[in-house]
Amino acid sequence: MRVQLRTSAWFRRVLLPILFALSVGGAIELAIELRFHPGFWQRSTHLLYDPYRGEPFDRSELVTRLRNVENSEPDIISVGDSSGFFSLQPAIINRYLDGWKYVDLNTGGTHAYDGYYAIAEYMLRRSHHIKYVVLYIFPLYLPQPCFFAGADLGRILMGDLLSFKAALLPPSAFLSPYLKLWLFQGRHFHRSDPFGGSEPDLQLPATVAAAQGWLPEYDGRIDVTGKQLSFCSDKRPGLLPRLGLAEQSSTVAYLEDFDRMVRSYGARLVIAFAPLPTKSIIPKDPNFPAADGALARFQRERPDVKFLFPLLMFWGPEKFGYFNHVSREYTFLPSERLAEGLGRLIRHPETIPPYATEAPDRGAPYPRKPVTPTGAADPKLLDAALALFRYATTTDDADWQLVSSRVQHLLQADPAFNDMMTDVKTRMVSLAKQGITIGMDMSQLEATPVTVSDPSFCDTRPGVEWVQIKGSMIFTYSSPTFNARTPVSWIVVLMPTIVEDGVRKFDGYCPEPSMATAKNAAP
Amino acid sequence: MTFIELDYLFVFLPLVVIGYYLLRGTIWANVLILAASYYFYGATTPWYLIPLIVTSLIDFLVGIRLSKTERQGARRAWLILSLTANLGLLGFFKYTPWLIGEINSGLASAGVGYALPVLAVVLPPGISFYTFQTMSYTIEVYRREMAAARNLVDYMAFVTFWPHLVAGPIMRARNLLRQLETLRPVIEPDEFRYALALIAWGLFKKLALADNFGAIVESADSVVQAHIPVPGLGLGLLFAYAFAGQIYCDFSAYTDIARGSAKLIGVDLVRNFQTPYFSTSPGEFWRRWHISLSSWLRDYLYIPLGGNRHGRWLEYRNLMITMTLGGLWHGAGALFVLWGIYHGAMLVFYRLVPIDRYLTRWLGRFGKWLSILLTFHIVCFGWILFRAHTDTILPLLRSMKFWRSQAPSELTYYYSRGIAILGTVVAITDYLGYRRDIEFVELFRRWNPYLVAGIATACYFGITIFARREAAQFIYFQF
Repeated sequence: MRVQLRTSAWFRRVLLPILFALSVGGAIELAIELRFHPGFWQRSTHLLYDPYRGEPFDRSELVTRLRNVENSEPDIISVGDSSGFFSLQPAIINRYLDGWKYVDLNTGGTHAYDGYYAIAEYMLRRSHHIKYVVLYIFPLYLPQPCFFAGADLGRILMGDLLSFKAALLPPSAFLSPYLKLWLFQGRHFHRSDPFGGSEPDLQLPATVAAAQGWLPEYDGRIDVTGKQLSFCSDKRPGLLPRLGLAEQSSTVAYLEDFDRMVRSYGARLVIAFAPLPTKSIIPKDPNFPAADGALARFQRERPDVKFLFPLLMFWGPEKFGYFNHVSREYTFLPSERLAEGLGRLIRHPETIPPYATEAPDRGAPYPRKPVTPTGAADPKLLDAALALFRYATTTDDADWQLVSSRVQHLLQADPAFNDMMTDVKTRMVSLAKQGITIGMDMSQLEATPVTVSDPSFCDTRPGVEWVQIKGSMIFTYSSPTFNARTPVSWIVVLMPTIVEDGVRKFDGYCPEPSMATAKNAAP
Repeated sequence: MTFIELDYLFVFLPLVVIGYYLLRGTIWANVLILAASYYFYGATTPWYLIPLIVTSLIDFLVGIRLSKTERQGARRAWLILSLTANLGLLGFFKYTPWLIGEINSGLASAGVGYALPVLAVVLPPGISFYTFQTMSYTIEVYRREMAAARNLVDYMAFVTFWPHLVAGPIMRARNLLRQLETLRPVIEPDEFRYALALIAWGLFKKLALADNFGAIVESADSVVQAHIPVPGLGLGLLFAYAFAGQIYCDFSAYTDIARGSAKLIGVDLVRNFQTPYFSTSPGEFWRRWHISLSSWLRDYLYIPLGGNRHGRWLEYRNLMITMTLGGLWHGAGALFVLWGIYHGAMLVFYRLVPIDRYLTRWLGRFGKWLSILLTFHIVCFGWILFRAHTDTILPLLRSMKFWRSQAPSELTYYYSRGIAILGTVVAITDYLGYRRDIEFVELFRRWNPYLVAGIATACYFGITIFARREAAQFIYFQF
């Protein structure tokens, strides 16, 4: 009797109110679901919708890209850092793949490495077509502790894409931006609004479907010569690795985990290293042997994983805006390089050699270029120095006429360059149809003639004259609804020019011997 | 692990509660509490357990020795050992790196080409709380206010009891230890429901209110740091209002969830807040704010210093010492000390000039509300000292003025709107408690269960819709 009474009190005073709360909550959730049908990205917690700060581009670009390509049934995807985000153009690469479809899902260093894993697994869950997952990374950004330190978004992305919480997010979460902005700012939220007001924020949604994930590099620029980078320690943190009771190499542990995940979906892991500027590695880097050895051991233990390129492939420093970013006028080169590698993987995987230990290019860095101004700043110098850069964005023939005949011949002979320009033209037409114009305002840039001694430059003709560019490049975007002017600091850019027919022209491009080797190696 | 993780709410807590009820009548119940607390505290960073276990063991042994020794000299020596160990540990982790930094910057500015080696230690969360708690145990045993614990497991469970380990409330041994030593009766259904309501309300306050107040604080802080001129209502004032809301909702939310979690297994933790922003004077504020710390400082510092027993000037001195050390307890930094001094000075000032009494006498009910408004602003000014950094304090203080304001900027409009909306929720709920001289959450005990269930449902939607996408850590974790 006493037990019955107690049970009854619990039922009346605890269970029934809880059931009441669950019923009311459930009914409201159901009503929201039936009325609005919010999808995964509308309920996801990945975008902040914080009324007091803008949406960080690192978050919004990923959502924009995944939403656009997640149902495109690719055969190959790439994940990794921004060396791939800005330099791998699917529109070029897909021309080499015999009908296979590649999409670029490389993001940035802030997503490393849990974020790369999460993006790959998210796509593998959605698309059973995927046969290869390419981990495309800058050689110095191996999965090592010092690189994880600044990667705050990696774990967040893992939670937002793959966790139990992500699967359980209720329909009411979709109301968040609508109610937050209405309540805290007094304005209405529209799903079609861009996430931010900068040029890349606006350009990406307009071009992402056609570009299949790629976005032209819009970063600041530095002079990449005269400085060198070093590898990180490969020691895996934690008590068990330290005691020798777990894998001690951070690189091996991470890659094994990644490979296991990719295999569990019936796909294969492929590793591709981005090129890096010549002489950019410190000589006798004490961490290099450990990193190189770890990769070699991983290859021995997992022979099915293909390494498309050696760890270190050096390209002329003129092709880099940053150490890890090939600048926008040269994206055809890394795209072509990856396309050749993937084509070989698809057609003759057995011809791809296993990863082998190698030695980096030894020796001191190129000395910082001693720059001596020889005249006053001149806007005409700017037009010449940035002719190829501008042509790769606008396809304006006037810019092409400011490219030296040497460079014109070299570029025209490269089918990937022509593919890139075809793609640019297609994109410009598509943007024009949407009433969108993208461009550059160079009014904040200053170009000065200088003398430079650059032993890395290929054109040794006596007429070469250098131009130093400093200031801010303003990337512009205008459409019927939005306008943006996004200034980006260009700290020091040095460009070689040459006078032809009395006109100063851009002369900065040098062919890459490694590209010719790669093409010859392709069966 | 923290209270706002899904793992805590849907795995850890249910498992511990179920396990506890299965073991409730046995000696294994406290073993479970101890194991659960160690997991809660050390799951992500196991070394945090080392200072916790060391300080627990020292004070347990000191308690035993005190209970076996009658000689006053020896008893005093054991007490000093305990205090030295606890304060030494706190000093090592919390104050040494700061002191070294200060000394080095002093040496550098004096042109001395020598610097002390920098101590790179991470502050274990909650160290200020658990050292004060274990100190209170040895002091109470020393004063013969309670018997020493005989069972190590019970004692360790008292120190590490997970709901209050990281950010309080600071429990007295004679209260919590006694509860853990006894085999508790079955919890009543109403108390169980109340515990769940406390957790739901705490989660809402943290995730929907405190974190959104925090978004305004962070934004205003970054604007000040970037030296962006913002016309309109004083940015510093908005910063202070927003932080007042953030710290109250954040800390009281932690206490609510802690109390709810403990109550699920029949343990009562003390109240830490009682509508503090309805205080009419700084003295009343400290009787309503972080009550477990205020009473600890009163019982173990202010009264032993002499309290108000030796004349007015010594009373003022004791107030200043107590509040200054209270400020230092919060954090190693000049601004925390300044915050303590400021509150000490306000307490002394109100003893000299009891403005609240004058206002009430002259203006009646209106005077009382005026006192509340004045006290709120005195506290808000203190919050600027508490939250600002040494490089932003002056710009923040300068930006408090609003009488010469130009047209308000969009930013200050958003801040004001957010503060008004969030502040209204806090003001209304607190007022409902204030008019009955209780905390708002106490009303959950009195109201109809279905009304409370409805409020819990509203809390759920408040969280799913208004929570920030990544919850911020509880503010008091840093202490």
